[in-house]
Amino acid sequence: MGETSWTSRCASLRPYLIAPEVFARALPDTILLAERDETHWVDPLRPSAVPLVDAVMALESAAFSEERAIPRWAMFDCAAAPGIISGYLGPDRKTPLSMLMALPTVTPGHWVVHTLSAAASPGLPASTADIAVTTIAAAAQLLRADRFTATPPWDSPTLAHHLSFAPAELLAAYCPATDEARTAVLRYSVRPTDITRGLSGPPPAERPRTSAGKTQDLIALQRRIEAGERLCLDHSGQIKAPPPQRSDEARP
Amino acid sequence: MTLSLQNPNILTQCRPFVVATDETFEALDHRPFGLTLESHVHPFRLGSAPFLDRLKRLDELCFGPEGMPMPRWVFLDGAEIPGIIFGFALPAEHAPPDVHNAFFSAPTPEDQLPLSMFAAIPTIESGTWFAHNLSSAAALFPALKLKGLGSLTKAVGLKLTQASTQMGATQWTSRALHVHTKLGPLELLSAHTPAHGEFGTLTYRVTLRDDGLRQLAGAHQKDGAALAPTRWVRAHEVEDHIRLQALIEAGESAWICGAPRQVDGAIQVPVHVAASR
Repeated sequence: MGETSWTSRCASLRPYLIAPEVFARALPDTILLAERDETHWVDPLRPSAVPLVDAVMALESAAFSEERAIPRWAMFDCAAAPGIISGYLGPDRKTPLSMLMALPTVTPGHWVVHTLSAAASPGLPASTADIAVTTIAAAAQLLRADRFTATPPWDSPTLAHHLSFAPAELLAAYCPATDEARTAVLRYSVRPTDITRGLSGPPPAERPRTSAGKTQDLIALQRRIEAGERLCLDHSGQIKAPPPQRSDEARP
Repeated sequence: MTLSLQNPNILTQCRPFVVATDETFEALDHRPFGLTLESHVHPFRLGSAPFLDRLKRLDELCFGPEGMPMPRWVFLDGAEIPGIIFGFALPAEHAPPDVHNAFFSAPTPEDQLPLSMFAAIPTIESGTWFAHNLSSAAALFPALKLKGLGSLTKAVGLKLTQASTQMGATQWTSRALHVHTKLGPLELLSAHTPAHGEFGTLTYRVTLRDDGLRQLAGAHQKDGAALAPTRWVRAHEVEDHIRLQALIEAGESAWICGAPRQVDGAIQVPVHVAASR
């Protein structure tokens, strides 16, 4: 399967972007699959943003439990205003099929992707995984990002989507600071070669196999990380020693 | 440069802390206004969990009644990983029983009970940070005499980030405007912001200067030149917000140029509107 088949299956989908226009000059002119002019861009600071924001919140509510759903004010304060919400609209050009919320960090090129959801639409050739992985790729290109940090729960299908591009360093294996302590904190590369690899590879498994299934195993992994050991997850979710560290990478 | 506060009691009793990843921590000012960051809490560490639980409890104490508490995952994903949570904490050994009761705590003497926090994250624009949570428990524990704790927390937190511009969202009716306007005129980016979901939300940005931060911190400062209001926006009247939003979208510039006032029980906010940018 090559990049062409991924993009052709998503070709009928129109990208959208929710980000303040006051930051427009900080964004590049193109995003994957579409020029900026073809992107449905709304400014969350304008009342005209409400229909798309409402639709994004509806997708969010359908994708996550009440405990994990993002409050509307937090969607604004922790995504739409300081960062971006991006994704793809369905054939009606109004209903979002995917959504990714991303925040910048102090390091240029390093972004935190804190929400990712996608839903296949009947009659479309693109699967949920196709849409989710392409949504990550498009956001990486839009943001000129080179690294993403993500926080998928171990039992979430989005874990596999994040693992589609490059081996991910495991920054935390058990995280009581969040609602679901059985959460992984991953950092992975989204440079152009990684994006090409991710879009050229096989569709990700819905649930990666991992040997870190039990809570006590995750806590043990976390203790190894806190002791200074570096661990990573490969495409299939297996825990391995990391590849050699790039000289421009630093621990978080 | 150190701070000489109108209420020195805060720095006598409380100790500053910051929650941040190592990557973020390295980019911070480690001596904001000469203060020493005595506690760096790493959000991923197992040992950080009890302190982070207390931050969640502080948020519930401060925002629960208003219906805008932060879910725990938003603390992590929307503040601690991309940005910072900065605040002041009371050493548990010095905390009176009502503070212990509020935190349901039986901490060891070396533990800290956070009494304030300020959450801020970088934005797409380099040098601009978005502030989204400012909590202070000073009013809940008046015997501690921590008046000005919230303002000081925001001032030192912003100094910590080394940001040149701060952006934020608040409500026209919020008492927080009394805090934010100490920084100087707030440029309105929006006056009617229904995408936020909370009634009467505005968004603003403000250029950060040391004199403004010191005034916010509660250090003795003389008032600088101020913009004169060209109108007073009625905080509870959405028509006023919509009218101002239309001017902003037409290209006019608008600033909140001072603290709100009460007129016959209603809140009015001074706004300066200037011709097109």
